[in-house]
Amino acid sequence: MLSNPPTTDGSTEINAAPKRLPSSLSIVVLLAGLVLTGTLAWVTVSIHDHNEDRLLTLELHQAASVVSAAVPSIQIPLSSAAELAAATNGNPLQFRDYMATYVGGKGPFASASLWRVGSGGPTTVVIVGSTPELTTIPGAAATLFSQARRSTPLAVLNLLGQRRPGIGYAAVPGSSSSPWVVYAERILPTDRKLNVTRNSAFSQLNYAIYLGRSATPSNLLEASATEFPLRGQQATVVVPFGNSAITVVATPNGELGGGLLASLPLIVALAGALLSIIAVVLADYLVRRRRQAEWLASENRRMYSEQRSIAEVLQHALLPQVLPEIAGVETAIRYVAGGEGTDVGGDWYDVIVVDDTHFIFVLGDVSGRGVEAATIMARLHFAIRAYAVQGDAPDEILGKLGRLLSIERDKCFATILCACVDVAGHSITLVNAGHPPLLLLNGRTGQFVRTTVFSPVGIEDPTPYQAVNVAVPERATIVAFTDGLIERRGETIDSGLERLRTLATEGPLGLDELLTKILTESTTAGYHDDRAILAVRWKS
Amino acid sequence: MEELDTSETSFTIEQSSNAAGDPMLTLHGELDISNADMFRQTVEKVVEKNPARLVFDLAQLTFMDSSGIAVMVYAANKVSDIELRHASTIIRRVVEATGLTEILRLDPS
Repeated sequence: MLSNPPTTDGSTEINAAPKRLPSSLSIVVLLAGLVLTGTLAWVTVSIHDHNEDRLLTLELHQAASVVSAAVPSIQIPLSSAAELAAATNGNPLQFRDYMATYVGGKGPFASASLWRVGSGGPTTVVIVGSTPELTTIPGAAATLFSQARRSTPLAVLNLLGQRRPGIGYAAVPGSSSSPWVVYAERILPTDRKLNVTRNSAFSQLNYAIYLGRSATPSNLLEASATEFPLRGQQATVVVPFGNSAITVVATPNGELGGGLLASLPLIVALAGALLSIIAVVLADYLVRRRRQAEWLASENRRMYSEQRSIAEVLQHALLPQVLPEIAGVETAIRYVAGGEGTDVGGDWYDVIVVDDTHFIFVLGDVSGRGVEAATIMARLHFAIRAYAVQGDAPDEILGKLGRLLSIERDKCFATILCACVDVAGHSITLVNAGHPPLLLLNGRTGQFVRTTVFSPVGIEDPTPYQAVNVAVPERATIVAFTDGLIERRGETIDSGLERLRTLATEGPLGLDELLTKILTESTTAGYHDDRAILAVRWKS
Repeated sequence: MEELDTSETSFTIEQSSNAAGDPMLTLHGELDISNADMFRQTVEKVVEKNPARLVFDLAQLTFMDSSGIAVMVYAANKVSDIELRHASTIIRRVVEATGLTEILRLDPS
């Protein structure tokens, strides 16, 4: 019954303290934290990119609408001049007067001219401002003007490759039969640097504006960027411009959505990583605490069980494991040590053969637990054996035990049921010192043997113990037991006695089966007192 | 191990004195092996002062096993006049079954 046997080398096994290994929980927490952080950061990056794209497109369309709005400022004066020429039949003076405000100085054009397209090709009527570059390109005027006739109201000529780079515009009057064509040129600044006001709506974008439908470097009109081609995230929009087009390419020169949104993925990643680390440290700490607690608990259990085993070993050394064979009767015993830890109770039993037809049986209970109760039990056990062997009757035996146990000195007493059985005579001589009564089973009936209950051993009482002789019917059974089998919280011991009596008389059973039934069915789960039952059955 | 056992049952002792000035111990709950030591220590302190009379009020005591009875008997040995008041049937039957009616004289309820 040793619950913790010594190891083969004689030393008691001691569990090692838990080692410092990272727990699987910590690793899971770390992985989960990192995966979550990565996902969040990725989502933030996606949102940020999407947001930047959307903002760029929005800003570019705003810029394109500004460019579109600028087209009429070129087209209207030229179309008006063409109508004027048609109305005045190409009056040079009136053309000069009208165009004077648009040419040179603050005007949009460097040169404006009125042309007449006849059968011999276009000829200049009047020129305001500098000589048009158009005149230096052979055949260009005829091509441009025929384009203007096909695509009213404005034809655009790319002069970016010329000595003075610029753009030429041609407009014709509304009536297609008119021979008049108004032509104007704009000269571009040499650096073609587009100065975007810092706080304007477009200050966050770099632009490159091209003439035509493609962003080829030779077609560059103006740019706010200094490096070409534009790199990274960019957007393009094409704005109709007369019979040509203007292509606007833009790229953000910073974070359109602001710096916080741009750094959000980084913030998320760093905070997530930090939180993951904190979670890992916490998880690891908790796991270590739990392991430590489990280890301490197992150590405690081990130590308690060692303590308990001392008392158990003592008790088992005293209690006879095999009852002596006695002719004419069958005997059986059940004993269950109650309690947890060191709380082994003080129940004991004994069967002592006196002669061929007589034996004494004892069932006792010391009112305490643990090693102290076990040593007192040992004292009484051996004394009873000695007195019985020298021929003392039960009342004499109990009378002498008073010298061995004192409530004042030992702080406990012992209840004892001691009886001498006359097998052949079918009788018992019984003394009860504070113990539960003997149960007599005869066939299907059972009754308690109610004799005088004397005070327990260890208590000074002037009343001497007196034995009572009880006759036992043929094939009857007597059952002695300790209070562990009948005590239950919230009820009188009479209820417990009645429950036990009912159990014992429920059916004819073999002696072993009877005791097993009583033991298992009479006590409630979690009961901690010792339980002992001793039974004697006459074979005839 | 006592901590384990006391957590299972609740038992308290109230210390006072009656009108005549005799020490009185009022017991509440279940008195068993797990708290009998505490009960004994309390009783020993009271008994040390050699009172002429000691009163136990058992009205609230719902359970008592042999370890509790042992303390009562110890007190009865030390104090010549011991009074056990208001014992319930459960307690009364335990004392009777243990053959101690002469030593622990329970007042008629």
